[in-house]
Amino acid sequence: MKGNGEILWPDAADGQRPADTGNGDRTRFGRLALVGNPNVGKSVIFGALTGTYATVSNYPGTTVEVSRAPARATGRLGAGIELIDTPGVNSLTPSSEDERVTRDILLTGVDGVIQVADAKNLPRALIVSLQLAEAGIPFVLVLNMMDEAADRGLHIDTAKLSAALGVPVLPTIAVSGRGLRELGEALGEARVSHYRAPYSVAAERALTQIEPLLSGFEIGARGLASMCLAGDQTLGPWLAPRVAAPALDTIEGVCRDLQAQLRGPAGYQLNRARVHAAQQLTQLVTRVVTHQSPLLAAGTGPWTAIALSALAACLILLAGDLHLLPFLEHPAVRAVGWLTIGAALVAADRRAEMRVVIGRYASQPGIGFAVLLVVLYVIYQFVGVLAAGTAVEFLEERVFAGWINPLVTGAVDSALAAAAPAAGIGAAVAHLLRDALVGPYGMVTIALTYALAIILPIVTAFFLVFSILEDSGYLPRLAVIVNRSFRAMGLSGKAVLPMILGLGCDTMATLTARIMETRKERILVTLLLALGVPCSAQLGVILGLFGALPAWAPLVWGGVVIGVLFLVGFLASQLLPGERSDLILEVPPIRRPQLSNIVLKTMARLEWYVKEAVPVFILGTFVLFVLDATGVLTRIVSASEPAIVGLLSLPAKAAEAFLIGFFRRDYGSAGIYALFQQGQLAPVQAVVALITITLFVPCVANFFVIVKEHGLAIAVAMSAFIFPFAVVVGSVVNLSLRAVGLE
Amino acid sequence: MTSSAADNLITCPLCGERYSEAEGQSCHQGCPLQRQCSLLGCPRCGYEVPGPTRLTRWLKRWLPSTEGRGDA
Repeated sequence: MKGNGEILWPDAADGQRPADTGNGDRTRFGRLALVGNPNVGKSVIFGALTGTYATVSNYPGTTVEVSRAPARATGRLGAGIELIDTPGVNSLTPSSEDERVTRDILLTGVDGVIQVADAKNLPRALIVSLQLAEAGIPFVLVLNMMDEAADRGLHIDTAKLSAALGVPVLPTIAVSGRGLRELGEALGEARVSHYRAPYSVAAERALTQIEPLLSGFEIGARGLASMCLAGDQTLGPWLAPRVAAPALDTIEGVCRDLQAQLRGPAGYQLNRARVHAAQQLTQLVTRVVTHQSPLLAAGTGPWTAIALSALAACLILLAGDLHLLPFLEHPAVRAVGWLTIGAALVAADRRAEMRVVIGRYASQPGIGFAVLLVVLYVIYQFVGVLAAGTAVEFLEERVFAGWINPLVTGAVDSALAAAAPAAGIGAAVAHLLRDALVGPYGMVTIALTYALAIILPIVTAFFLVFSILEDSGYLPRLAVIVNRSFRAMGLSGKAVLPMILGLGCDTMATLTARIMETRKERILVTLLLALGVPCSAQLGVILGLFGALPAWAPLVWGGVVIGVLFLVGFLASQLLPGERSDLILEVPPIRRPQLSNIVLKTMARLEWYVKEAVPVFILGTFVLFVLDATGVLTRIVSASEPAIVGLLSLPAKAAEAFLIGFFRRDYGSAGIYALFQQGQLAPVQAVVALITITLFVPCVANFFVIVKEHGLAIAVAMSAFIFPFAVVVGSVVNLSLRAVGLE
Repeated sequence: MTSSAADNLITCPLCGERYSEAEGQSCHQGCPLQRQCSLLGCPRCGYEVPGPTRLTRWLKRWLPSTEGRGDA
């Protein structure tokens, strides 16, 4: 390399990059980019090659952060070279803002690329290698996480891979620094790869027509041409000032002609060819030694029978709870049902074959939903019936109502009686202080009672069972079967992840909606999250209330919420047509949950909950107290009476639960829980209230994130749609349930 | 990977990715809850889990190791 770097690129004739592109921009020399799929260890390698100091800045016009730093002299890597840590990409034809930034960095010209790959997932990396080859950018391929690949029985022949690609291939374990010195040495050997994907004859012809019109840039003409053929709209603004208008017209015409010859989108066809080539090369260089083969070869018949029996037993128990057939409610039938489920769980704990069978069923169409039903039923029994029915009753009625609240009330009364006159506090102020602590909207009588007596025991049980699910490897399978439903709705597979994440925290899930390709898709996913995905704490409280409600209640709630999601998703997908993208997820084996993992995860979640939720409860209660003291609460309750009482047939006091639900969803649900416990809500009213509050905008934090991601106008517009929509759905459910004779 | 580094990695329950606490904190960028939130987001799929705390680190010392689990 010429200029300020120390790497020497030999002549271009032998496949390496010419040092000077002839545009006179000498400052570009000495730039190396780290490119690779998301989370393959680029940042660890970047840190190792650069030291600690890095300039982190947003890429112009985006919110994507890019790190740059001068390289430390390592091997043939010179001290004057700038390294750029690019955002993770799965393709150089961008489908997200992150991918566009990386593509743009390459467009502006780098002298070489260090492509970092996850050795466990070689095909994914080779798709990017193919595009770097097409772009004519010299690179070295770093196979990182070789230890994890070896753990999975993957043995990659790096010499054979290097020969096939025509570039150096280096095995590394970046977190322990292994292979990084060799990487520094190998950078001088970076070359332009001759690796090519076998495109169709029509695509090759189109590329040949376009390539001459796109020569002379920092990036290779074939790479640019394939981006054009793929219909990359984001490339247009870059090409417009650089390519003459007639040439652009010709390119457009060639793209149109190619598209007319193909059945699907050209970009999809090109990518299929790359995936095919990457898989073929992976097979050529990878040897798999799997420890699962003998297990899968062994007969799983008996375990299949036990798994299916447990599934049937669970459905029988559920049917009994729903009073569908009287004999299913017989204690003997229920005992046999629970024994069958218990036998299946014991078998899953002890026999790997059983876990293989469960794992297979859990992600299959049809039966995967039956497995999901079983999982939900068991959670409902554990959280709703067991935890809520016993722990809440004990804590709320015995501990708080019987002991803590009277004790604190007495202490507050005594303290105020003794201290107020001495401190010159008037009777009215003393009364206010008393109400703020132990009054109808007091921080102890409401905030702490709700948080510690109602929600904490329920979410403890829910977090416990959720940790078991997490540690068992069930969640990826849930994503797979939900993905199928979303595809049926016409939504992109990428929308699944934010939805699954929303079950944890809607606020963070709203941020992950950034992975959606278009702004419209991002808004749609944000809307669906805000509309119908309850967060974990709210879901726990709702499950807790279901334990005290008839068995039809969870089915009605689940049916309505899922139905609304499907309806809105389907309508929106009709309004927002576009290519469907695939969900790529590595599905691990079903594992035996480990006690230590479950305890640690449950405790960590509980600590998080107490630290973050309780202060919000106290703040929300204080706001409620202020609204009450100033008379505003009465006006709000009166103003909402037509909707709350008229449409939803709920007591006017339910407005308070909806109001505090805006601080935290679970807080609002706890308000409904308390009303039900106090006998102020009948089962139909409780279900209507839960459906309405689930469909409401999640919480104030989520609202702010929506403002941040999409702007105030969109956030207000979403809220303006969601609030009346939730009330309309609630009132329709109210009328429907009453029409079929439920109370 | 050294054993101590491996011990400190978090395994994503959704996608199986292994990442460090620092990598998990990258989700705090741009989040309004960043200062109060102790959740870590998986850099690959975004799935969030609570980060290690003093309490869980202390508990971990008393709980049996999860290494070498006999999974299928």
